[in-house]
Amino acid sequence: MVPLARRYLFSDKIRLAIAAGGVAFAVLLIVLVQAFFQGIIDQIGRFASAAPSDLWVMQAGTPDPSHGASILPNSVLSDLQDVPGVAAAQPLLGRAMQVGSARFGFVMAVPEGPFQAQTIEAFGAQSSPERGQVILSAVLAKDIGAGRGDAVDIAASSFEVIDVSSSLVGSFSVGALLDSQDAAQLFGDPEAFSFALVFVSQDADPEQVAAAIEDQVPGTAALTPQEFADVLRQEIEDGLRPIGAVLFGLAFVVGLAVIALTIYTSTVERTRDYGVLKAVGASPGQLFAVVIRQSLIVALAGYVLGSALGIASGRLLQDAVPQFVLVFRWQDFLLVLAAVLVMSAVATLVPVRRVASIDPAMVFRA
Amino acid sequence: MGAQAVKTSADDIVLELRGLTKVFGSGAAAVRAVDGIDLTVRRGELVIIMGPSGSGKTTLLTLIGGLLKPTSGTVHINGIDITAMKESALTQVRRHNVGFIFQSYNLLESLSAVENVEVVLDLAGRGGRGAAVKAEQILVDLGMGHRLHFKPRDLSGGEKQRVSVARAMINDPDLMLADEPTANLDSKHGPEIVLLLRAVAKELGRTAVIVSHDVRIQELADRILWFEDGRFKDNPEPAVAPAEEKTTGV
Repeated sequence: MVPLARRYLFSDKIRLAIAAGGVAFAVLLIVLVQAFFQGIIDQIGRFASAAPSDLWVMQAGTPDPSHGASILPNSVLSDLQDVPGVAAAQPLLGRAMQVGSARFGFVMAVPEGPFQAQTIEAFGAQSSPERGQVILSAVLAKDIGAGRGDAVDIAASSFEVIDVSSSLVGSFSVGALLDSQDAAQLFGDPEAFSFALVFVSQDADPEQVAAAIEDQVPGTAALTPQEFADVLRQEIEDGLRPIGAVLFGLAFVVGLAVIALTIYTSTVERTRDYGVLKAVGASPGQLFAVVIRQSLIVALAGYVLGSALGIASGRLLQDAVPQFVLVFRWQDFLLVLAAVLVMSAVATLVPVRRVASIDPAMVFRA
Repeated sequence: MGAQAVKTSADDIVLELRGLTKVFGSGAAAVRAVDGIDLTVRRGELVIIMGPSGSGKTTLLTLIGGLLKPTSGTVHINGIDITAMKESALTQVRRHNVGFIFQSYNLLESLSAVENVEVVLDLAGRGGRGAAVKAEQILVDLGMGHRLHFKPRDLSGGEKQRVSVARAMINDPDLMLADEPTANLDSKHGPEIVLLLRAVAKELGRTAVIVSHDVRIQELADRILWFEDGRFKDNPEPAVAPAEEKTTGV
C-alpha cells in the first residue's frame, strides 16, 4: 500500500512538527494537570488510610481536618470503650496550624494509649519527639527552609527540628509531629483530643460498630479509613473539578485547533491531488480515510510526545518543588488518549466536507 | 512493448455516444458545450478529436469519463450506460474501465513514479506487494525502469507523461482518455507518447480517445474527428471498421 497520508504529512516536516508540537503542548497540559490533581487526591487520602485502626472517630460535622478542627473531650475515650465491638481506642491530636513564617502544616501528636507506638510508626515516624522537639515532613521542611537542628516556630512556640522525614504523613504531605503535651498546649485544651483511632473486636463488623458509636456517643462521627479517605478526596475533587474541567477544555480546544488547521491547510493545498484521485477511481470513503489518517498521525505523534514530556517535566518539577506531588496513572493516559482521538476525529469534519465537494472534472483544467 | 496484434471485430464496440449533450447555464446565457453528439469507437481504435480551443473537446472527454453528468443523451462503455449510474457505480467504472491521461500530467508530487502508478491499484483494492511489482513492471515496459523511485519534480515532461500513461494502463481499462497529452511536450516526445498509446491500443486491445490540437500526431490516428461549437464537423462514424488484424509495432 502506498502510504499516502504519511507522505502528505511528511512532505512538509516543519508544519508536521508545529502541529505535533501543538498537540503535545495540549497533552502535556492535560497530563500535568491530571497528575497534579491526582497527586493531591492521593496525598489527602493517604492521611486517612495511614491509620492502623479499623475506624476513625471525630467530632460530628468536621470530617475535613484542613477546613475544621475536630475537638473531642477526653471522656469520649471511655465512652467508646463501652460501645459493643470496640476493642481499643487510641487518641490522636491533629490540627492545621502555621509552621514557620508563612506556611500552614498539619501539626500532629500521638498521646499515650493502647496503640501509641504503632500509630506513630503508621504515620511515618520512628518515635515521638520529646518536649520542645518537632519532626517535620520533608515537603514542609523544604518549604519553610528548615533542617535538622534548626528552630521552628509553631504558633507562638519555638521547637527544635530533630528529624526531617520523607515518610511522615500529614494532610497534603505537610506534617509536623510533636510531643502530645506540647500539642495539647498549642491546641489550647489539655482535656481534649482530635481523633480516636478505634480498633474493633475480631468478630465485629467495623461498619456496624461505627453505627453503634454514632448512636451511643453523641456528637461523634465514625468512619472507616476508606470512608474517611473518600470524604477527604471528595472535598478536594469538588473544589478542583471545575478548575480541571476549564484547563482540560482549554487544552482540548488548543489541540483541536492545531490539528484542524493543519489538516485543513494540507487538504486545501492538495485539492488537485484529491481531484486526481477521485478521477482515477478513489471513492469518497477512501479519500476521507487519507484525511483521517493524517489527523490520526498528528494526534498520536502529539500524544506520545506530550506524554513523554509530561512525565519528564513532572519529574523535574517534583525534584525542584517537593510539594508539587504528581501521580501519573495509566487510566489518565488512556483518558488523554481518548481525548486526543476525539480531537483528531472532530478536526477532520471540515476537511472531509471539503474533500467531498471536490469536483474531479477540475483536473482537466490546465 | 511487443508487436503482437490483438484481433478485433467490427462489433467490438467499447464506446458509444448517442445524442450526448451538455448545456451550461440556462436561458439566454445557456451554452451548448456538447451538442447532440453520436460516436462509436471500437476496440483497438485510436481516435483523435481535434478542434479549436473552447470548442468543447475537454467537456466531451469529461462526459465520456463519467466525471460530468450530461444534460441529455447517453454514454455506453462496453455496452453499459454510465449516464444513469450513481456516483458510487461511476467510481467503479473510472477505477476499472477508464484510464485518464492529462495535459498537465497530474502526478502526485509526494509520491515516486512507481507509487503514482501503484496507488491506482490500491484504490481498486488490489494493493500489496503484487501491486508494487506490477507497477514497476509496467514502468519498465514503458522505458521508465531507471526512474522508478524518482519524484515527479525530478522527471522530464516526457517521463512524467509516461508515468501518466502507466497509471492509466495499470488497471487494464478498455478505454483510455487523453486530454492534450502532447501539449507540454516537445516535437520528439509528443509523438512518442501517442505512438505509445497507439501500441497499447493495437497490441493490448485497448481503445484510446485523444483530445488534441497538435497536428504533429494526426498521422498516428485511425480516425481524426474535427470538433467545433460542440459538434463534429463531419460524420464521426467510421466508414470502415478497423482492420480485423491490424498490427502496429512501436
